[in-house]
Amino acid sequence: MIFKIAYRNIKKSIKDYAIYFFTVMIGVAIFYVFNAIETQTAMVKLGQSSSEITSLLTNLLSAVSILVSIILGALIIYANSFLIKRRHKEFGVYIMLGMEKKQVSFILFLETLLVGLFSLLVGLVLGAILSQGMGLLVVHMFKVDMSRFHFVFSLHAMIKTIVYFGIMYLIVMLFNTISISKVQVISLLRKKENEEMKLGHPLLSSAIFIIGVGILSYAYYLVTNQNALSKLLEKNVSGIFLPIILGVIATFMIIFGFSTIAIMIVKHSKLYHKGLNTFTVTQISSQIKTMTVSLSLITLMLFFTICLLSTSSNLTRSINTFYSKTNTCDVSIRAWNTTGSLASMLKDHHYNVNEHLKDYVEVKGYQSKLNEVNYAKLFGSKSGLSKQTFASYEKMPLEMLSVSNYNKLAKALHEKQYTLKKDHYLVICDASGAKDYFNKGLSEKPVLTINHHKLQPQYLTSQSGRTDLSSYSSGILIVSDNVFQNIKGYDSTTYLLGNYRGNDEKEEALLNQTLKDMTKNRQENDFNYVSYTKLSLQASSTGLRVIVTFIALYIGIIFLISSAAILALKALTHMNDSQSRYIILNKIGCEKHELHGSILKQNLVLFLIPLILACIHSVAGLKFTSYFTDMMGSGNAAKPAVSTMLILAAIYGGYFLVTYVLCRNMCDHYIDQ
Amino acid sequence: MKILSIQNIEKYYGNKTNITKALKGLSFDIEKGEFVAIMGASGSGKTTLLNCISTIDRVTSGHIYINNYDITALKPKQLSKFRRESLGFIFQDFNLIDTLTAYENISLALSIQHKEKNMDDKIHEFAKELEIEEILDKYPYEMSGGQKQRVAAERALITSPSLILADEPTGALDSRSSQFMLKKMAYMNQAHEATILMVTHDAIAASYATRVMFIKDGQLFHEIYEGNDDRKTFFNKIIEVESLLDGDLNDL
Repeated sequence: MIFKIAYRNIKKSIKDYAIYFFTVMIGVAIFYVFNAIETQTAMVKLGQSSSEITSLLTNLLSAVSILVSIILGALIIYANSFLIKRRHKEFGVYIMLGMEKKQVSFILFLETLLVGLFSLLVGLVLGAILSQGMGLLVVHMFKVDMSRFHFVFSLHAMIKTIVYFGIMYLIVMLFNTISISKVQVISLLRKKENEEMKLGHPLLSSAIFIIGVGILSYAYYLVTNQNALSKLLEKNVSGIFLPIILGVIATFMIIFGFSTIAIMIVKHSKLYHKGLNTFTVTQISSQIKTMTVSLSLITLMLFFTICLLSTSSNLTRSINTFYSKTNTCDVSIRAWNTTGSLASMLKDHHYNVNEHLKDYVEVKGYQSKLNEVNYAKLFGSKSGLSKQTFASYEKMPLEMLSVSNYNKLAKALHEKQYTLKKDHYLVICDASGAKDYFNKGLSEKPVLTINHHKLQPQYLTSQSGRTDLSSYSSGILIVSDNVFQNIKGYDSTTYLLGNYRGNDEKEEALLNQTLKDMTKNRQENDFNYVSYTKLSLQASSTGLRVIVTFIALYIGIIFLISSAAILALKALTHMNDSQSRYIILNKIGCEKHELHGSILKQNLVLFLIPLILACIHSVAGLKFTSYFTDMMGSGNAAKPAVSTMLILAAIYGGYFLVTYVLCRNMCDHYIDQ
Repeated sequence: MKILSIQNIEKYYGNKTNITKALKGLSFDIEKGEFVAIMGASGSGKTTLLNCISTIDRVTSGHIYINNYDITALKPKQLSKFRRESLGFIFQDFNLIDTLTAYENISLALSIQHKEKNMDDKIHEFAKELEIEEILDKYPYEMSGGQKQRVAAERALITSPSLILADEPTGALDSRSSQFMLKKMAYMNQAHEATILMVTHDAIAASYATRVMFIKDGQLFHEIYEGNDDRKTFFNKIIEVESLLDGDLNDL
């Protein structure tokens, strides 16, 4: 009997369950897709050195999955409590008829179970299909071998999805049981009393709104103005929480004040008494009033999503440009504490450099003595850095190379070569943060004494270039050739660049093995090295892009569906509470299409407010993240990618449409009754 | 001038094997400026009649003319336009929108019809007559039942409809508020020539009308005019007819 009731209930309230079912289904599908990536990537094989990246990706994704399941769990509980609230009266009747609360809980348990199982099943099927698309995306985006593509189903991901969502459902059932057992029959049966329209105090609301705007502007100033930001972060990195907390408070205040102010303005305009506007405006304002907190939360989640997706696509773009620049020579090694030349050391370990590498270059450089040159000295007194930071830069030596040696490296790396006058120097730097400081320092024309030579700067700004495949240089000192004659007492660095003669992968394995052997049982002040190869860089480039893109997509989509689902549920609840109003309007001669128009406006405003606010936030937010990506060497300003906007629009717009259609159907249903 | 003309209407419910006849060939006319009360026991067909006139329900046969328009021949789209422009409604349970003030509830009726011209003056003028001017800025939950019903009455009157349909307008009010409300309705009927059709089973309420029709088993049983009688005499006549109507019950 109870099974019958539960089954019939679902059939009857299938419309109520629609959003719930839709959300859980997407949640399951996304969860499966991202946890199946391990199998996917194994299939397409991102290249030789990518196994580490793949395991890093898998580990990261499982960590993020825990966060995601907490978010989804909270969402499911919220959505479920919405369903229970809507059916309070029905449960009240069951109890009045003599059913025990335990049995009512059991009905609810069965319903949750049925809907849960069904959405899990559909979600998994959808996930399996989507993950094939994801595989294709990987193949397409990262230009890996297409021939190995075939349909895969990840059993591991499926089991994981079932277990995680099983736990979530268990918690939901627990919540249901508690909420039913605590509730009083009279409150279940009592008709909802007429809503009391309370407008906020106009002056107070305006004041809160204006203060909110003020706080927000200040928070924006803090994150977008470089001076203010560096001052904030100087003492403590946790200073970044100040603008974030201010932003959260300001968002809340703005949304709180907004509805009262908006209704005040609209009430005094001619439009207010036009058509259904009176009704539409009060509907919107009463809805916003009751969901200030959730709207703020949704705004912040959307903001986070926009920033995450844009920054990630930006990051992948800069990773791409960054590594594509490195496609110059096959291998670069930087070594310290060498005895004799690096080539001869390699030969001692049965690796004949001439035999394995063609056009190889080996040059020597030196490390500056701190009392002669350090970063702080070149940043100058007007850098605007705090004492503490300045002192730490005083302890950092620079790499030094003679100009002819540097030019040999630059030639192999296809970088610009320089000529220096006698007793002159230049600074090479590409990292934009350090670059500014160098430029400030160099404009003061600092004179350096190195190895008893007084040196003048040849350029008053830092120049671009590098000495190995690794990255953009963050500071190299190039001096005229005469400086290093008769040099003594400086630590030296050996640079070796070259191209493989034979098969790239085999040669690379051999060289790596040899270098590993050389550092076996090493102790302090023994030989040490850093090597970069074209192959490993390419693999990690692809891998990094995969990681950044996937993690961002994963969290972004979950945040997006969570906020859209909350909005949808709120809209449906409000629609349900407004039932009598639509019936009255229809009775006094309002046509259906006019009511639909009003519903459309209400939903549009509801979905647009957090979106617009989040977009405004993200202008400041993206400026801030671009500040960090700049430091990493990418010059691109953060631009929201087209693909990001498409994903956002598809999911958010989808929820909006579904909500509108459901609300419209509810309205028609009320009227036709 | 005839506002409403009902010609031999019938309304059947149910299927072939089991037919309920709610209205059995009912005919009557209402002239402009009349205040007509329809009385009858539960199940006599008076609600069905009201639903058919207000176009919520369709008749099985016969014709209903309002302003010489045959509303039984109108298409659904024309119907709602007709309802909006020609009819005003007063309901037993007020049906005010709880999130709007009295003023906004009234203005909405005008703005739905895009009659925003001189709206403010009109609303205040009617509100003065109905003695609800002081509560125009209040919300329904801040008003008494009588005040709510007068707001609803103004909402029905403000669009100057050809016919106002009132379904048990005093059903949810206490006797004092009822009398006040009915006096106002009678006043509106006289001062503004508002044509009112009121369904009620309260003899006191019916006594405020200018004509009372009695319906029994879906047919017109009897009708009486106020004529030159005062309200008390008219009330006694109504009671007499009512006791005839409920003859069976009085046998007890």
